[in-house]
Amino acid sequence: MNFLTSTITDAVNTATGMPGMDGVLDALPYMGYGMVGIFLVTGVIILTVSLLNKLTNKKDK
Amino acid sequence: MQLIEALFKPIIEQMEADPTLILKQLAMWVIGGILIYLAIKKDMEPTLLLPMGFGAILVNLPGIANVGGEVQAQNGAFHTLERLFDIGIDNGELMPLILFIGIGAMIDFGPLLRNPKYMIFGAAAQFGIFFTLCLSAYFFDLNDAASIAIIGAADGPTAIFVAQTLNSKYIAAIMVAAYSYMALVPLIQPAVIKACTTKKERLIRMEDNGKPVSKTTRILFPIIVTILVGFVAPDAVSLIGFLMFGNLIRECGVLDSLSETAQKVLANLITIFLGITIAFQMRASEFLQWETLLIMGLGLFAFVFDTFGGVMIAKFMNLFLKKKINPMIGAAGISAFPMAGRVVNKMGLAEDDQNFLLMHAIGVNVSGQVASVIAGGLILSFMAG
Repeated sequence: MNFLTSTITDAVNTATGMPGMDGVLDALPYMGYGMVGIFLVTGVIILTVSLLNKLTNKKDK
Repeated sequence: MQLIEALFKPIIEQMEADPTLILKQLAMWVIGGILIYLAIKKDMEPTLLLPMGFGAILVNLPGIANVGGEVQAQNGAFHTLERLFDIGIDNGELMPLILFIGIGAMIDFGPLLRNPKYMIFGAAAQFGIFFTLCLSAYFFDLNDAASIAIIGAADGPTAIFVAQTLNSKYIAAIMVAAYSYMALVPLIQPAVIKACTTKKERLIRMEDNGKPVSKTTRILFPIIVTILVGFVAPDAVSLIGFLMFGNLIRECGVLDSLSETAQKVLANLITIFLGITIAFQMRASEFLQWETLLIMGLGLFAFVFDTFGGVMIAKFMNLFLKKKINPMIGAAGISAFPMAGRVVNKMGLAEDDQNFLLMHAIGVNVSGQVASVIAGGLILSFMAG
């Protein structure tokens, strides 16, 4: 049954030119890298802004 | 008879070359009409949907559109739009970049600078983009999938920039989806927020920490963010750079006149041309494909999961925090500014008329603006690599 389903899916993908599951598997690492990357960059921004706030507020006082 | 032939020459020539094209063009007039209707009657992103709607009619007039992939007639309007597209979008993505100066000048990062931790929600609310990238990759090649996924950023200029840089052939559909969903924020987000929060969570009140932000911080913020993003995602540096340049003009305090011009005249001018220029891509032969419907569906998926990501990170943080956060503010981490922030505030007031979440939601909302540009930059870096 699984074989039949995968054969039909493959046939549809080939006929329509869609990348299918291969495309999903290719894109999967980017999801991980993307979320890690965005949290890293925003983490650095948070730290920098917190530091700036501390330094400049002290100076203002 | 000769007079009729002369009058309808363009239509007759087109019918001879491609008899079915006229029907597709009529369908595009209907789509253009719907966009104009939504802009005027429903007040949905009128600044962009109206020019796009009119442009969709303009580029689908018989005899001036593509027949078999080639322009048939030397029509002035068609070629003017083509030239505008070449100059403003195709060559260096000038229009979205210049528009970003205006957007940067409009944004007050104060609420974010008072609570920098709000950047976490902005980051989490980009989850839909990366999740949709995987799903879209089932149907499209990676470059198109990435361009479609960025619809979830709810950020028109970033969507254009990424789609154009990645040379996506679906830029018109991506634009229509991006701006339609931005306009539908008040309809889409409340449903998603309610689905993933309890009434008790929506009733959580949040205090304003009220810490002042120094002028030095306000001035240094755009410069530092540009440098940081430049290191991590060099492909996004023009986007973030123009956004932050606009913000620096606003915050420096010595360029008030330029800041006002960037916020109003410059942004309006570019917006007028952007909508009608994008419509150049709304030619029947290219727009009326089943992929357009699929892109609209995937865009909605990205948008829903962005909202979901923002809300869920707030719920996760609440597991560890003593002072609980109202998880609804996480939903404001998308880029649709200031609509997403206002929606969250309205929902808070609907649950408890003394629960004012506006400052928190706007802080998260502006962080979403920065995070969506970073997400766009990361996607460009991945695809370039």
